[in-house]
Amino acid sequence: MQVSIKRIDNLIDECVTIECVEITKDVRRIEAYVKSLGDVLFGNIEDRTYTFNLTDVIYFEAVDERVFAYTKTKVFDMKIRLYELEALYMDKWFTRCSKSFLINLLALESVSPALNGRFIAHMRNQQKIIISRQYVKSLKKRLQGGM
Amino acid sequence: MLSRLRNDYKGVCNMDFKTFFVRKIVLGFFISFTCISIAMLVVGLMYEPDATFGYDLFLSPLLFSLVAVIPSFIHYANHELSVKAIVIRKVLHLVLLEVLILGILAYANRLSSIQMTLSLGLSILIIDLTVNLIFYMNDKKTADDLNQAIKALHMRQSEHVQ
Repeated sequence: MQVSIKRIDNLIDECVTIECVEITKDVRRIEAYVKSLGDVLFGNIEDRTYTFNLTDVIYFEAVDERVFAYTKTKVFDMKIRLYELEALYMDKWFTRCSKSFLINLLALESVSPALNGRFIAHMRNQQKIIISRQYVKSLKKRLQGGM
Repeated sequence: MLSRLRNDYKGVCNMDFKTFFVRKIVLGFFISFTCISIAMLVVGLMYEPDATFGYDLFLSPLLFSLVAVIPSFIHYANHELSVKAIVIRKVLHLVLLEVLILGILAYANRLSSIQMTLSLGLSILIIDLTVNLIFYMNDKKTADDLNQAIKALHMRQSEHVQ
């Protein structure tokens, strides 16, 4: 696939155009990735696509091949991988706390011990999420302002 | 960086039986083996310093280390367990450990009375509870540190917004 980049003068006119013979899964993933670069995200509820703000997201959860974004009242189905979201938003207070959760540190209210060196993250929407032992150290570092 | 995160993600997801076996069972076996050997040396020097033994003595730490790690298989799971599931597994682990240790000692005719069996069983229970309590207290301290950090982060953010 050829890639071309053209410089333009106005920021508002910036866009990405994908020319393809068929809209495949990969094309959809590129589309989702490009759309998620800003602070406005795109996600589906049933067959409709909605926009929502990154700051409203309390956490992302990966279930099998799918990723869901949880806000206070809604759950959006997203066409992007969890590690891609982590790479995109690690500088925006999102950090992974287990193999399938990426949490918003600004929506984290408190932490309590679970068993086996794990912890429970108490989120703003009253949801409790398990923090795996492997991620405790990086979580602490992120909370203290590190990357 | 994306590929590193993807590999990292896969590494955590594929916490398979092999990884569990090496990290928990094999490591646990060698730790138990070392501790039992040291305990035998210390207790032997204290109470029977002049005793002599045959090569078969080397089998004791091997056998008891093996017995000590067998119940650890109960902790294996390829997915994240709930707190309730962990508690159930911990109780099962303790019961299995008690049954195995007391069973082997009874089979070898080393348990001379009910009192001895009960006190040994109680000792295993107390050791298990103490270990879990120490781990819990350590986790509580970590949780307190994390909560302080969360509070500080929220303070910094509210100052930033103002």
